[in-house]
Parts: sequence; structure tokens; C-alpha cells
Amino acid sequence: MGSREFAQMPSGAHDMALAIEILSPVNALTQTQTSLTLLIERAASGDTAAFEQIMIHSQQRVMAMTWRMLGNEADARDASQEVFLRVYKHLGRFKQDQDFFAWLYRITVNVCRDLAKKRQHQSNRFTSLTADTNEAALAVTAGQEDAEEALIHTQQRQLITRAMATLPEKERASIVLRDVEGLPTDEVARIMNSSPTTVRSQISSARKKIKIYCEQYLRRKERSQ
Amino acid sequence: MNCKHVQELLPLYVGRDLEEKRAQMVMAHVQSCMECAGSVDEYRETRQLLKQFAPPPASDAVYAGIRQRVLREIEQEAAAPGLSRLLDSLFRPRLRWAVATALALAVSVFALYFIANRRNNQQQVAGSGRTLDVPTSPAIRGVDVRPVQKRDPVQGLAGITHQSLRRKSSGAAADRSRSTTVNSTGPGSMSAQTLPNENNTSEADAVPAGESARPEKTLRVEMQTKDPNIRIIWFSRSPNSKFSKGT
Repeated sequence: MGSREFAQMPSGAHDMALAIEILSPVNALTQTQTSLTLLIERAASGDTAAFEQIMIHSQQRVMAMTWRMLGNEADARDASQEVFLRVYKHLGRFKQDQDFFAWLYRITVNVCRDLAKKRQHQSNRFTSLTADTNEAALAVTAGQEDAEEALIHTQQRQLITRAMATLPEKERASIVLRDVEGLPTDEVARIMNSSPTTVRSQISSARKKIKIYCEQYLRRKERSQ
Repeated sequence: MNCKHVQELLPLYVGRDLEEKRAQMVMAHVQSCMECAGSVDEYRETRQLLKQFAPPPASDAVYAGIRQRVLREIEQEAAAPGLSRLLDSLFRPRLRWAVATALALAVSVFALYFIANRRNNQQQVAGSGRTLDVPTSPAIRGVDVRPVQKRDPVQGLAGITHQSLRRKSSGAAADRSRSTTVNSTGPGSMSAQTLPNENNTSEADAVPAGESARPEKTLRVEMQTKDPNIRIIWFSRSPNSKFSKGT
């Protein structure tokens, strides 16, 4: 329910009462939180329809996070499913004063860790993600500026995906939460069940490794041209 | 601040993860050092690249499929009987090792208890007239178990009377040893005697008055621990026990 404000009426139109409901971004956020809180309460008491609404609210975040952690769509789908199952099982433990999405990220990171351990061949799966965008398929033809731009974009995406695949699991999780999801370091530390100092060290190491990987890749490319 | 130190801090500096004081020092250095300024630009470019680290857009059908599978599993679990749910939760990957360890520990403890009990029984059966080592408890390690000869009730009474008189005169130290049948050889000793009930003054509470007239024997084992204040006394009414019939 947004704040209700009365617009300035033109003179001579006093008999026409007009109420305009304006949803400012802050109010919209509060509304989302309130509705999410209600949905959580209902879902915790076994209302699966409410839980489906929670899934709809959060499915894109969960899917993106699992993909970033695991590197391929099939695993990301399996992990997302497991995340929602765990969320449903542990909704009773969720405290209303907690940030739901931070709690959700924590579960997501744990599920991805478990799944990665199970699969063991995570790095291979990461590489397979980039197989569809191999070098030969990305040959640039002259005069196709849009295509060239799209190609650069794809190459960059491929490069960063490969660079991320080289990172250890904890460093990848930390940098995804900090640099991609944009969470503050303290929040990342809470999600990772770690200290801010450790998270800072992981982030520093990850940024350094990504930079070095990109430099080496570009140097190799320059030499080959 | 030299370049080496600044280069170490740059990954955190570009993400504004350094505390204010250090960030200002790095900034001052970067403004005067071309090489470090170049590194800052490179870090910023790779951070920009990270924004492209996103999954290919998934269709609504993919999300709907995930939701359906989740809801189906929730329904199945809700319909599952309580026992199978408990077993499921016990054998989840995280708990599997804990459950296995607990089971292994329980089996080990039971096996140890069983072996120790069996050994004790064997020692009691074979130990008539011999000194036995009882290693079951550190508190009574090295304790002597001396099955006491079967006594004549009168002899027992005489012994008790004699010792009781002696105890009265020996003061508080002797008072600690309330037993009248001790073959104590000092701390860490243990003795066993078979006594008629009527003569065993210290077990008056344990034996009903009506039974005292019967010629039933009581096995009494006393253990003096290293601590002179602690003595363990064990009674057993088993007239046919092999132990009590020791020589």
C-alpha cells in the first residue's frame, strides 16, 4: 500500500476529490518486504501456494547464483531445486528480523558446495559452458560492426567465465557475492560463515587472479595475431 | 608506501574494501606513480568484466519446471510416513558420517563392556586362593583380590570382636575403616571374605532380619583405593558361589 497523496487540483474543481496513490521506490520496497514476510509466515505453516510465490520472487537470483557457482545450466537447475527444498524445510528457523535474501544466499552457497563436492568434475563443467563460444566461431568479418560488438561482448563473457572457473570455490563465492551481487563485505562474511578479514583476503586473491588470467589471455592472443 | 606494498593493496583499493586511512595512502601513491595507476585501471577493467558473468537467460518453462519439481517433492515428503522421514533425515549426506561414527562408537563401547565383563567373570572363577590383578578401573588398578577362607561363624565373630575392640582404641583413623573383615594391606589393597550374615555388622541394613538366622553366606569384597578416605565395599549373597568356596 503506497503513500496516498492528494494532487493539487485546479481551481473550480474543488468538488472533485481526487486521491492519487503514489508508489515511491521506498514504499514499493517496504510493500515487497511486507508481502514477503506474510508469504514466509504462510509458507512456514505449510501453505505451498505461498511458498510458490516466494519461489517466483527469488528464482532468478537463485538460478543466477547457482549458475555462477557451478558454471552450467543443468547443475544450476538441480541446485536451485535443492535450494528451494531446503528453504521450505527450514522456513520455521527463519527469523523475521533477518534479511531473507542473505539467508537464501547462505543456503544457495551451501547447496552449491555440496553439489560441487558430489560432482567433483566442476572445472570440466565450467569449461564445457564456454565450448559453444569457441574461437573459430567468433571470427570477425569486416563491416559487421554490430556483429563485432556482439562478438566482443561474447568474448569478454567467455574470458571472465574461464577466469572464474580457475578460482577456488570459496574465492569464487566471495567475489560473486561482493562484486557481482554487490553485497557489503560484512554481509558476505555472514553468508559464508566466515570473518570479514578472511572474506577480504579471498576477494583480494580472487581479483588478483582474474586480472592475471585476463592479462595472460590477452597477451597470448596478441602473440597469435 | 612503496610500489610493492601498494600493489598488494590494489585489489582491495579498487573495490573500496580498504579502510579510509590506507585507502588515502594508496590514492596518494597512485597519483604519483604511473605504473601503479596503470594497475588500478586494469583492476577496474576486470571488475567491469565481472558484470558480464551472468547466466544465459532462462525461459519461464525452466523456472516453472523447477517450481513444479520442488512442490511435487514437498507433497511427497508430506505424504511419507514419519519413520521414513526420520530415516531420510538421518541418512542425509551431512549426517551420514555422524550417524555412522555414533553407531561405531556404540558398538565399540558395548564390545569393550562385554569383553571386560567376561574377563572379570573368568578371573573370579579361576582366582580362588590367588592374587588377581583387576585392571578394569584405574582407581583400583593393581589391587589384590584375595578370596578369604570360609570361616567358622564363631571365628568370624571372634575376629570382629577383636577388631572392633582394637578399632575403638585406635582413634579416628581406624574409624574410617568401618569394616570388620578387612584384610587390608594398606592403600590400594582389596580383600574378599565370606561371612555369615549375622556376624556382618556393617550390612545390617542390607540383610533382612529374618534371614540372619539362616546359615547363608555373604560374599564381601573390599577395595582400598589409593585415597585412604575412599574404600569400596561390595556385598553379594550367593551361598553357592565358587568364589565363596575358595580355599
